[in-house]
Amino acid sequence: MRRYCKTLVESTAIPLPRIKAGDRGKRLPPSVSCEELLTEWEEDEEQTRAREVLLDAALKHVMEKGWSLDAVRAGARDLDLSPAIAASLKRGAGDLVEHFVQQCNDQFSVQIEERRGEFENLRLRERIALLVRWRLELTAPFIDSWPQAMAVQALPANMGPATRQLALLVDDMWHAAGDTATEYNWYTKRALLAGVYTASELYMLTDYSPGLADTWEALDRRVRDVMRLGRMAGQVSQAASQSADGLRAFASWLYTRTASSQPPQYQ
Amino acid sequence: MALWRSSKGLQSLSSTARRSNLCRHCFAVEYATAIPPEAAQPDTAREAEEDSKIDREAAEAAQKLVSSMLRANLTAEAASARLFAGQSSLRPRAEDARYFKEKGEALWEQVKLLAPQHRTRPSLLAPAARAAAFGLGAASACLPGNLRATIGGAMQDAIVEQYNDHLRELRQAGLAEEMADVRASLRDLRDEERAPESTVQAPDLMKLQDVKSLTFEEGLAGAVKYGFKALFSASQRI
Repeated sequence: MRRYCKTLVESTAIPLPRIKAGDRGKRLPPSVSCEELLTEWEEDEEQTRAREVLLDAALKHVMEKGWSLDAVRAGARDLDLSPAIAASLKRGAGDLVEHFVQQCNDQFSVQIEERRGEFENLRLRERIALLVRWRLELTAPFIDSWPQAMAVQALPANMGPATRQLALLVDDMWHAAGDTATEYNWYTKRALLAGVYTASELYMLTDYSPGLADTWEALDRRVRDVMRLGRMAGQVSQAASQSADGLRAFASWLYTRTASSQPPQYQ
Repeated sequence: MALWRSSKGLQSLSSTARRSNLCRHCFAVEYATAIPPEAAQPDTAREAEEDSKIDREAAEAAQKLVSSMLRANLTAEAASARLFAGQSSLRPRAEDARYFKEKGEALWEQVKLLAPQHRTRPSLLAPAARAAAFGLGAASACLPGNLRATIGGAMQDAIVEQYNDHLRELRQAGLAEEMADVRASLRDLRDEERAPESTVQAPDLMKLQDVKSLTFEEGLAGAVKYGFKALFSASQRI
C-alpha cells in the first residue's frame, strides 16, 4: 500500500507530508494519520508566518510609536487586520523586540558568510572587534528608540529569550573568529564577549560622534583589555600547574626515599 | 499543499475513503489525480521558501544532535585519560598506567579537534567526571592488579557502549550518509584500546536480575560501568 502511494504521489508530483527533523525516529500514534499531521503542521507554519508578517509590519511604525503594542496595532491596520490581533502576542512588545533582534542576528550570520574574506587575515583581537561592530551597525537604524527596547528586554518575562539570543550571538562571533576552545574557557570567552558587546551597545546609545567613531574606539579598548585579561588568566593557570607538578615530583621523591630508607625484612 | 488546503471536503474524503476500502492518504491521492493540472498549480516561490526553511531546520537539528554526542564523548575521553593519570600518580613506575594515560590523552585530543567543527560546547559535568575518574584511578592504584584491571575494563566498556549508541542514533536519525566523516571518526575511536585486558566483564541485564549471585569483581565492574555511563549520558544534556 505504501509503495503504491509513493509511486502515485511521484507521478502526480503531490508532496508527501514533511516530517520535521526533530520528529525523526518518533512513531506516529495510531490515531494520527498523515493527513492530520499535515494539517497540524500547516496550521503551525501558517501561524508562525502570520506572526512574522505582523511583526514586520509593526517594525515600520517603531520610529514614531516606539517599541510598544501601539506599533503592532498600527502594523495590523496596514495589513487590514483588526488591531485586537496585537493581543495574540504573549509578551507584547517583548515579542516585537525579540523578532527584530532575531532578524538582525540572522542578517549578521549571512553577513559573516558573505564578508568572510574581510576578516580572515586579521589578528584575533581585530577580528572580534570587527564582528561586534558589524552586529552593532545593524541596530543603528533604531538607535534613538533602542533604550526603550533594552528596557523591554530587561523585563523578567523577556530576560530569558534575550539572554538566549545574546548567548547564540556571541557563540556565532567566536565560531566565526575561529575559536577552538573545548574546556571551561569556552564559557569564559563567551561571557567576556557578551560583556563587551553589551557595554559597547550601551556606549553607542549616547554616542553622537560622526559615524559612531567613539563607539568603535571604545570597543577596541574593551577588546584589548579582555584579551589581556585572558592572557593573564592563562599565565596564572600555567604557573599553578607548574607548581602542582613540582609538588607532585617532590612527594614522589620523598616517598621513594622513605621506602628505600626502611631496612629490608628477611623471612 | 495548496491542494490539501483548498479541498474543503477533507472530512467527507475520510468517509468516502472508508466506503472504498482505502486508507485516507491513498484515497486522497487518487482523488487528487482526478483534478485537472491547471486547478492544482503549486505556489512555487512559497514552497521553495518552505523547503529551504525545512532544510535549515533539519540541518540545525542534525548539528544539535552531533554536537550533543561529541559533548558526551569529550567527557568520556577526558574521564578515561584521568583514570590512568590517577593510577600513574601513585604508581609512577608502572608502565601500563603510563601507556594508557598517554593513549587516553591522545584520544582526548582527537575528540577535541572534532568538537569545534560541530560547534560543541563542553559539558558542565566534565570537571566532576574528570575529578571522579582521577579519584577512582588513585584509589585503584592501591588495589590488587585484577581489581585495577576490572575498573579499567569497566570504564572501557562504558565508553564503547556509548560510541555504539551514538552510531545507532545517527543511523536512526537518517544522518548516516550526511555525517559519514563523523561516523567514521566515532567508529575509529570506539575501536581503540583504552585499558588492559580484564577477565571480569561487567554484569549485563540478565545477571543483574540476581544481584546476590554476583562476585565482588562483577559488582565493582557493574558499579563503575553503569555509574560512568549515567554520568556520560547526563553530560550529553548538561
